[in-house]
Amino acid sequence: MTDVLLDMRGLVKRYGPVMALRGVDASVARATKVVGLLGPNGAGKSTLVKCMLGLIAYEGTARVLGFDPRADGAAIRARVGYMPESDVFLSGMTAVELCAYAAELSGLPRTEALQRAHAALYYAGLEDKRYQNVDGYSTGQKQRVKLAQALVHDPELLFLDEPTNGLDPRSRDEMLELISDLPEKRGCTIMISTHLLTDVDRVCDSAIIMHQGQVRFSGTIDALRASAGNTRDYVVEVRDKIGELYDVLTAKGAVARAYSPVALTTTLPDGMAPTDVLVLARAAGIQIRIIEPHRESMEQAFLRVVAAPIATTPLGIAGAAGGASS
Amino acid sequence: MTTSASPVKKGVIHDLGYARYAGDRRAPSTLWRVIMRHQINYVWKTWWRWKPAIILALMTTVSVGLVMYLSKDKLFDALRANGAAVRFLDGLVPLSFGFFRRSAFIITMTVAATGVARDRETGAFSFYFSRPVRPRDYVIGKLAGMTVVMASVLVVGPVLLSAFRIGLAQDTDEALRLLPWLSRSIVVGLLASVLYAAAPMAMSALVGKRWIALGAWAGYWMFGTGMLAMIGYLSWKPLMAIDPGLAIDTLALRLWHLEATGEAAGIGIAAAIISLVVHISLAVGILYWRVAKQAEASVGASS
Repeated sequence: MTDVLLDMRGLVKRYGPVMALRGVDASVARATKVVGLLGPNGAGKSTLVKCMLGLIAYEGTARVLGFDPRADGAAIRARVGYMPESDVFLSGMTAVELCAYAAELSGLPRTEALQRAHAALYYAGLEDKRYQNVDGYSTGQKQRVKLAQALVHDPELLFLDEPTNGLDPRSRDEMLELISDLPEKRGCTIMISTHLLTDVDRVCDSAIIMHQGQVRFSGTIDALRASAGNTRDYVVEVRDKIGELYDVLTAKGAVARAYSPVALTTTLPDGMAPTDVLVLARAAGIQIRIIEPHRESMEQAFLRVVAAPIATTPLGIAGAAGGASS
Repeated sequence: MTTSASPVKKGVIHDLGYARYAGDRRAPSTLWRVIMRHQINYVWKTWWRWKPAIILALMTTVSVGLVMYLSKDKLFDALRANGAAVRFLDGLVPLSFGFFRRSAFIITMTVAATGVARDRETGAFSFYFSRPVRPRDYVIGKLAGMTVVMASVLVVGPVLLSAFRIGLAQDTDEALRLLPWLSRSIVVGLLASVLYAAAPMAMSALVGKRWIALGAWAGYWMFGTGMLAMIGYLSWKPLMAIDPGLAIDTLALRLWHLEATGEAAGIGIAAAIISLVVHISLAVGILYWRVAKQAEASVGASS
């Protein structure tokens, strides 16, 4: 079994004059648990997924689960689960029938398919609703059925497209809990495509960020944040006298911005250490409660990566478990 | 008294002792059978999709059988064999295809004409094509399923009537002579079944919207084909075979060595077969082309 789940080199896809993919290089290690596939609308995510599933022709080389999508698309799709954003329900079917049918279409024998359908629905928390017609399900239940039908055939790789779309906070919480539990319980890697970056922050350990048909970042979430490069940003929280702290810091050449009523973020000038902030604050009679490096939010990191100038050559990606490039 | 199981806490992950499936998997080339089975199950599940047509076909079989039995010595003036009128007994089986076609048309309206469009509207294409299913598996599976459904009307009825006719034979020699009726019924019935499965599904794939597909199919079959036949009638008689319904009726009559006195008189067996083959080929071609296009577009991450 290969250690690389996905490997794409110089992937190019043209739709007439439009280049949907411009030399995509990316790699995802099998050890990766949950990888986020991110990008603004039209970034090329759908096209990339279609290429990986062997549904459309492309230029370049790709290996998915050790198979070539061009030659072995069906073999890849038998080992991949797909939960689309839109409904995928065949009308007039109960959840068990739908999942059993899904398993059979993925190659499982009939009896096994039925058993797995029950197990998948049980896993998705629909054990008491599995004999109901899917047409009458709530949005949350439909999302769960979509998850169940995607994992019923034991996929090695699971594509989830906006899995928390339309869910209320509690259902969203439960769905994310299910997703983050899947790699360990089912031994599969998850690729999640979503616009909700808080979801990515919560469940993903890696991310691939696409923009204008190129991979702009591929690596761990930690590497994404580290790629910001600025280690001089800090959050400083005080008991009171926030205005005075602002004056003290700006007088020493630091850039300060309001963060909350009792905190500010500051970019320290060269030669100034966090301990210097403590000394300055004590001298001014200001009680500091917390001083810590400012952690970039996923949204900020995403916008930074997307806004960066496009590389003239295809980006070399060390792998999802590896470093960042942008 | 019943004891209630301990309630499952919502939001808590629970599993039934999961173990990865390690057995053999079905080859992709056999997936059409799964789709065919699903298609037949789906049609059978509701009372209105298939069952009324079967009841109508059953009534047709019994009625035609009764007329055959009660009027077996009377002549059927509308049909000729070598210039001489035949008995009801010998003319009604090929003519019955015209009645069974009406039952089949009901099924096209309740299932076939909306089948592919429904799959497209409900996102089922995404369900199918994110799996090892290829467009040809989908097309073959759906077509095979619908053909079985149509055959329940277009093959079973005529075969039963043929068997009944053989049963009414005066002696063993006559019964043996009539045995080919069974194979003829199967040939015509199967051709008609494939046509009644493929043509409305092609229309459904071409139009894409369920209700528009239904209207387009009904319009084509009830008026469009008639107009085509009319053009043939006014210009060159064999062109009338362009009406596939008329082509089926003609094929049946010619296989039974009968001549019709009505509008089908000018159509030869070759024209009828060519018409059916062209219709079926065109329908399957359109169906595959549209499904293959949809398969490409059906899967993808949100954007």
